[in-house]
Amino acid sequence: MSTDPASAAFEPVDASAQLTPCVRFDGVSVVAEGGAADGWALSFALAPGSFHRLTGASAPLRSALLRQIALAQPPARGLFQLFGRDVSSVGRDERLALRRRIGSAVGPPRFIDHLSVWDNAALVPRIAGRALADYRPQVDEVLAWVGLGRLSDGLPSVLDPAQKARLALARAIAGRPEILVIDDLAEEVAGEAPAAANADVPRLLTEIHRAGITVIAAGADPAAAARSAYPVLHLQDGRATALESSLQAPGAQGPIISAPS
Amino acid sequence: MTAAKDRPRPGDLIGPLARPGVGARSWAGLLLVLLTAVGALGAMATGAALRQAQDLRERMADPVTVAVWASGLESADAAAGRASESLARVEGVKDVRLLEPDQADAGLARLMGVPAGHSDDVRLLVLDTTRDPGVVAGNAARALASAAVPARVDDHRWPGSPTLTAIAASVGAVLVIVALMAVLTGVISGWITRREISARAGQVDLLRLAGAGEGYIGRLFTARTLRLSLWAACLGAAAAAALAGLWVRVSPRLPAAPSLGLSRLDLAWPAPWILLVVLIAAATASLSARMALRRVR
Repeated sequence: MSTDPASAAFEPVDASAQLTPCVRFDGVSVVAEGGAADGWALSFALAPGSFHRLTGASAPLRSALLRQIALAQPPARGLFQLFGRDVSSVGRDERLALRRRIGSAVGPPRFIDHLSVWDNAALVPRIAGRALADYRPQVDEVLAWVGLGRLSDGLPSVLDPAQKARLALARAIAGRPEILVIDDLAEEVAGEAPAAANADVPRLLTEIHRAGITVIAAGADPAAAARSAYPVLHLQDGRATALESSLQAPGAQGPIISAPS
Repeated sequence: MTAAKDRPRPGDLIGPLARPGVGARSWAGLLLVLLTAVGALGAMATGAALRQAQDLRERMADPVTVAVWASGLESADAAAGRASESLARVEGVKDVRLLEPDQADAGLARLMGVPAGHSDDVRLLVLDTTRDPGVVAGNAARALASAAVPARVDDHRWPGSPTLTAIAASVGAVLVIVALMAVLTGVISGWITRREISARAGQVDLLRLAGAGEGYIGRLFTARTLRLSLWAACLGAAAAAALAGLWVRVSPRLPAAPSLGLSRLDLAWPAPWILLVVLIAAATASLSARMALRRVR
């Protein structure tokens, strides 16, 4: 993969799609372990091709929200639209098709231990039923891009935490998603200083975003998020709030926060 | 990095079936081997019984069958001669016919209740009757007893006929065994599928996040149970066939060993049993996977 993924690995997002938010929450509750979080009713909309930092609340709640966006778990209540479709009204097949348009790296990096690094990275296109010959070059390219090309035949257990974080990222984007939801991998690498463990991930995310992919990256530190160049979606007291980033580029599309339902 | 063209086929998503160490899967596999072996032996016994029943049909075509055997210095043929004379005088007997000795006679004699040790040397007579066969059979038994001819009389009517009772009991027992084996096979297949899914909850979650639907994940686990049951069924059926083959070969040399009526033809019966085991495993594994995946969220 070239250092500019926009030129090779990812398809640019169709400009006409910019008109419809790719993610829209209207009074949506968050379902974490143990049931829906009391009093939560999130309302926001994210434009296609945007990059948002997600901060606030607890790590499980942030992960739960990302999992809901990735359709890994259904919302308890509220209107949730993905690519303009109300997910509560779609059938099983369409739901699956929607889910495959989202790459996710939620929670601590986990892998199928008996599969090689390459096979783990190839999970999404393989599950989607694509032919090996079709996705093989793409997976090779993504692994090389995240710096794991030479380790592709090894097992994930031999990777260090930073490499595991990059493999989780590679797996999430190997299926050429339109949306990437990602927990702050630097914070998920236990026992490692985030900067040392994971300095490459922010750069990689930036490149992914430049390729037109909508990125939602969660992180525990609102101050760090505010220092970044991207708009922030902050969760607090059961609501989503848009925070201006101090380095936000002029004209950057922040989340559209509607009045609480 | 391995060149793209050299990349091997991707590994199994759930993991290799055979792993070092003894776990629940090993025990489930062993149980399936045993169940298949017992079920295959039952299938062979059923096959042998069905074949013998075909042979018996001719010998039970007339309303009443009489088995006589040698006693003291009198041979079986002599006893049959005396029995024939006595039976011809019994009221309601239209015709008495002495059957040519046949291999099936010993089996029928056992079913009729001929004492052990005499069943291999019996002569069968069949009676055509002008009256109710039950009454004629009773009269014939009394006539033979008064003539001191060792004999068993069977009028082939349910439920008094010892032959039909024995056949029904044998078929019933075999069917119960086969059904029990089938049910247990289903229970074990379902249990191991459920257990594997519960033990791999994290992996299931990962597959879901990677875009796998419930049907896709369920099929992975069902296929895994199918592979296990296929291996177990083949091993169990092979063991049963080997055991039966050994018995067919060795039993003629052992005077006290019952022949069980098995022949080399019956050794083919385990093959359909393998298919049955695999079908049962597929059905129960699929159902269990669907139920277990609902719980693993």
